[in-house]
Amino acid sequence: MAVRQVSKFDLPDLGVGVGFRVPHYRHVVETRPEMDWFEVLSENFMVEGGSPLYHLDHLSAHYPVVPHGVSLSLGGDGEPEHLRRLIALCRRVNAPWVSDHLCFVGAGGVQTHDLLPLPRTRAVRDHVVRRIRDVTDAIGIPFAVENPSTYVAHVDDEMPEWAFLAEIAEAADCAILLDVNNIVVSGVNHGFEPMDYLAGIPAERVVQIHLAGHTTLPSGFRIDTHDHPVPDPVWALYAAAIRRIGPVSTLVEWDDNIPTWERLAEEAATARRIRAESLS
Amino acid sequence: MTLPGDWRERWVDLVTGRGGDPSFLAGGPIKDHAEGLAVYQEAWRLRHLEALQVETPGLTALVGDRMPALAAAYFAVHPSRSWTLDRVADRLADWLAAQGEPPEVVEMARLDHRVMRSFSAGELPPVMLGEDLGSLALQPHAALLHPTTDVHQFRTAVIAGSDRPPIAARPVWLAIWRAGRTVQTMEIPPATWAILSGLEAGLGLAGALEQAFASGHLQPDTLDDQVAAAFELAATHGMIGSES
Ligand SMILES: [Fe+2]
Repeated sequence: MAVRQVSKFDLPDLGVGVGFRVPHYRHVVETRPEMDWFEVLSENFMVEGGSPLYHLDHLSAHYPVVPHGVSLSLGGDGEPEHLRRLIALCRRVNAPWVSDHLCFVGAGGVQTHDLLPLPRTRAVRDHVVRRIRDVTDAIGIPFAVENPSTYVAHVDDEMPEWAFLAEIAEAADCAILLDVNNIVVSGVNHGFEPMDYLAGIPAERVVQIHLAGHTTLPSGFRIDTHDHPVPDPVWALYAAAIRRIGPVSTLVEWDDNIPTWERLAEEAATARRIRAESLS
Repeated sequence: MTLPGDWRERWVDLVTGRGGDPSFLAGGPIKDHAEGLAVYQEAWRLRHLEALQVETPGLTALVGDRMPALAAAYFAVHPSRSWTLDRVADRLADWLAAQGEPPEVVEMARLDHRVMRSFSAGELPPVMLGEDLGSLALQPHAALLHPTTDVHQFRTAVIAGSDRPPIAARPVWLAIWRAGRTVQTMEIPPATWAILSGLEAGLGLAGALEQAFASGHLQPDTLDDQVAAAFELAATHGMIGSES
């Protein structure tokens, strides 16, 4: 496997950060604990005012902040009002880049609020490329597309997910947010080797890595719950990803059964240590 | 089966329980396509139920065990149409009314909705002394409700975690607004309510006073005092702002 690519995007290595979540809002804005950077869920802050923007402004005054969305629906249709608010959010926090998922979330005006898997066909690939180009043109900062966890595929899939992601990133000239937990989850659920996935990704396009925990059902099936510590197979894939990609901004996602700030910071510290070891 | 042209719509129908043929989906080594689809269906059901409960703490406490069934029936008719889950309850009160639910259930849903909208609504600058009062407007985070039951007292107890009082049938003139980062509810005099609801309807100051007078809540002999009291209350609590 090739080692240490030079990034195609002139973006800073922010170090290791965590997701900004409600139970920690007050602690973070009032005590400003040590943390390299924060990711915020875009939709929670695409509002007119009040508590969300109060906390966001205090956060972005002291830390780098990157918006990460779940409702852009790259495989579906764009919504002008959604994009307008996303642009306003990016400007508000002076975002270095912005990200969302390789998925669709609804159709015919109905939103499922889930990251539904896309058929991996050339037609869908071309649709997503057009959507990413439109979004990037409108927002004016690099856009990173993230690989989701999935639980089914489609009978007409024409390529593996890593090829689908790589072709889209190349054609749209966009960045990649590589979620190594999602690779482990989907690898078990669909029966592929996570290292094959990693090898198939254009490393020079990866500007961020996601780490998270997941749930293993008695059958062995994996569900992307973000409610556990990062498990060993994910740490191992992370180390391999860092060796391949180089020093890239890393983010620990913990969205359910959210632990104390101290426990979350500990998980980020583990990531920082593994990242440093993998680079040496 | 090959991939249908309307695969997005079919996916949405399958996930939201409207049915359809899932044979364009493919399973993996552990779960077949139907079992994999069931993961999405269950996640959709739970996510929407939880979101509705978050948006309607008063209603959730009031209806108790009925909530999952109510949520399922509601989302079957009104699936989410917004990119944010914060808006899942937008049509709930009207839907409950159409189902023939009692006033306190409908009014609690409406109160929950207005309170939750207030948390992240915008804010106008305060009215400055000597400013043209024609620019006076109700704050976007403020709302007026006129329930026929005192559901707000039950809701306040739910939020505070204290003993919940029985809900009584009586007319209530209620103001909801954001103070700092918290949302307040308060019973206000009918005359004040009438004036502020005119501002809420976008009638402007003159129109709001006219409407309040027509409603019978403003008395000719005490009009000046009633109007002064209304603006003092609204200004003190930050319910009004300037659109200029
Ligand atoms: Fe992720």
